[in-house]
Amino acid sequence: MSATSDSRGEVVSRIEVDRSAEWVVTVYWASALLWLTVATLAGLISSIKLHSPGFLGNIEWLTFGRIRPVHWDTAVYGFGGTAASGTLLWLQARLCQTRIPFPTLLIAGGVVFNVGILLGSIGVLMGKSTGVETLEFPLWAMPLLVIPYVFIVIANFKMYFNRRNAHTYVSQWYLMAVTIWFPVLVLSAEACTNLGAVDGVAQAIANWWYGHNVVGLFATPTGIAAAYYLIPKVIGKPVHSYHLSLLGFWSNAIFYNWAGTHHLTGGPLPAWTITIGVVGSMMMFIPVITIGINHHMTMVGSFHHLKTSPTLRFAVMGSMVYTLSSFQGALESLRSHQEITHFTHYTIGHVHFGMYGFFAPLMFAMMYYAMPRLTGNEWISARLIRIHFWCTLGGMLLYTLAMCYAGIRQGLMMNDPTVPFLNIVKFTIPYLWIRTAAGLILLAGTVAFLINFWRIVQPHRLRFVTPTLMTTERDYDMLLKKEKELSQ
Amino acid sequence: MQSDQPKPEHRRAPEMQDRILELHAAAMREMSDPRDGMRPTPVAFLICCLLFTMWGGYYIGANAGDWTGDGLAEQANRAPAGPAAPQNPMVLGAEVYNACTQCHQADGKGLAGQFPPLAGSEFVTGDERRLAAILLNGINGDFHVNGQIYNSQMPAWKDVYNDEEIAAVATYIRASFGNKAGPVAKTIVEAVRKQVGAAGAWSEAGLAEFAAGK
Repeated sequence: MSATSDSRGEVVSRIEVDRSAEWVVTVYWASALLWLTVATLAGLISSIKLHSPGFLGNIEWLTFGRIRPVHWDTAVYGFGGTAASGTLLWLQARLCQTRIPFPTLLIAGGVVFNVGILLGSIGVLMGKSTGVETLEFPLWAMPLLVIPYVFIVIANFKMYFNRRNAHTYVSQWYLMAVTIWFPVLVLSAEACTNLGAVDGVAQAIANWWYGHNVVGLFATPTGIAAAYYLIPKVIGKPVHSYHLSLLGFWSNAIFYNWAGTHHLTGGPLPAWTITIGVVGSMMMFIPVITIGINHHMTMVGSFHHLKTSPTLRFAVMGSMVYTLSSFQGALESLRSHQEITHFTHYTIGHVHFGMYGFFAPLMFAMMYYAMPRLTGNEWISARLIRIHFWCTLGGMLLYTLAMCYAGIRQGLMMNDPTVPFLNIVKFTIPYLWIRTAAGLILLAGTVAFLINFWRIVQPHRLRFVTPTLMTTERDYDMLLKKEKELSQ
Repeated sequence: MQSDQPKPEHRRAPEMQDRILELHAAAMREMSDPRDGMRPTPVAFLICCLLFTMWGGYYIGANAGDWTGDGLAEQANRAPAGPAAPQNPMVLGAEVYNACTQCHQADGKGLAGQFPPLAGSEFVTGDERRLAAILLNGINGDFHVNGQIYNSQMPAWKDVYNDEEIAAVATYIRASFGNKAGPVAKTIVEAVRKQVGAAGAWSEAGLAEFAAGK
């Protein structure tokens, strides 16, 4: 123990930080998992409707045009927003070695945020969607999402300016950047689309500038910040290279912002708008390779920890998929590539690869790492962790492979005028079934995690004091049995 | 993550003084916060990044469409449009026919009682002008084909497809599903459109009148 923790002061500050974070972060992460479940269910309903159109067909609120946006919005804001906010608060507090300020206000903010997503989703289900992708929530729901985020931004800056370390760690750059970028993104995108500051084609550009950046300048930096913290933290080694971190951060900041217009290839836009989107996307190879090298070289020599540490397993999975899905995404932006894959299932495969293969596992890794520190207990069931991991990995791979393969075949057939459209639809049906199966596997993993999460926040008479590792034999029944023995 | 000495798997919830340590077992055993290593960036990698950025500049220059905002994006980079090469009507027709499959089905057999078959239908293989008139204006009300009655509405396609496309799909259905009638020229569609393009959907009687009045 003494070999791993350097000073007594650091341990004390950790404990102080975790105390101040206990409720705030738990509230954000618990909401994240509940919304993830909702988003997965909404996704499943949408998925089933694609191969069995009659499914729930006579319920107006659950028609495809309403349930699909709810799936995406609850995934992005409900799961992504709350998981990232919890991560941001805890990581920043830990790295600044300072308490989380005004926890009550932040908890209230979290509640308001949840109410906002709930009302927004109900609005969309009622048919009040704005019709602007990723900003479908009716305008009256948006203040409920924006105002709580302002609290988080203020808390983040307050912690940063009160930090005890002079040195700013690379994760902190990303966290600071997110808090500046995201409000700018949301407000300007709302202004340019739903509030009508611009018209026509410019509105579509603003929409996809936002749609792409909500993934790239919100989810991605939070995920990278988590990976930069967790990987060296768990294996106890410094990050490979500060210089690579710098290059990765700034190239990400410069290039990502330009990438959004590749979604509009083939649309009625000036050529240069799309060309710049393509180049912005291709240039992402630079930060992605840089970050990939940095994480990989940090891990080299420590891969054996993957056998035991649940945190590391999810973090490394997320980090590896970051590299793969970003390569895929960059190539996908090329005109020659889009001639085949644009408007096919391939794109849907890619977005799930990124969100469920990169972002979500890193958020899970954060929770696996921090929850024992926040609750003072260990994860109750190792078996549920194993189920969660294999369901996440298996479901995500099955989903991505099925959709990308089906998308390529679909695109090739759509380019061939001799193939009747109906044949293409029929061809995709088995793959749509595979997608539903993959969704069910992911749902099983989420439920396993939800149960484990529920149990770790419960007060128990007994506490495990050794870490729950992937290889530990430990589950809830064991705890109950021991508790029973003690009470006799 | 791992500790040196074996520890009991669990303990009874302890009294306050022990509890502080146990509550924070996780925080105490964890590694210190991550630090930055200072390995230099490989120069070869920086050169690759630079070259790649130069490719980006080249790609923008080559595909910017002269930085104008008035052309459609994907046309800006293509060769200036000459007279369009005539398209094979059977290929174009098959493409247009995708819009028809929902009712007349991919095999051209239709649906009993609702959508008449195209296979073996006199209206398809017979008078070209009448076929063009049906495609342009659509049909409303009861309609007899091969002695069977059909009553679903056929939409008008005159605002959706141009003369070339209408002629192509007519040619396609006249030579598919076992039909063996000859192609329909674009000029015929043009003439019919001029004559009846402003009218609404045909009734069975109206169509017969049009066909007889030629």
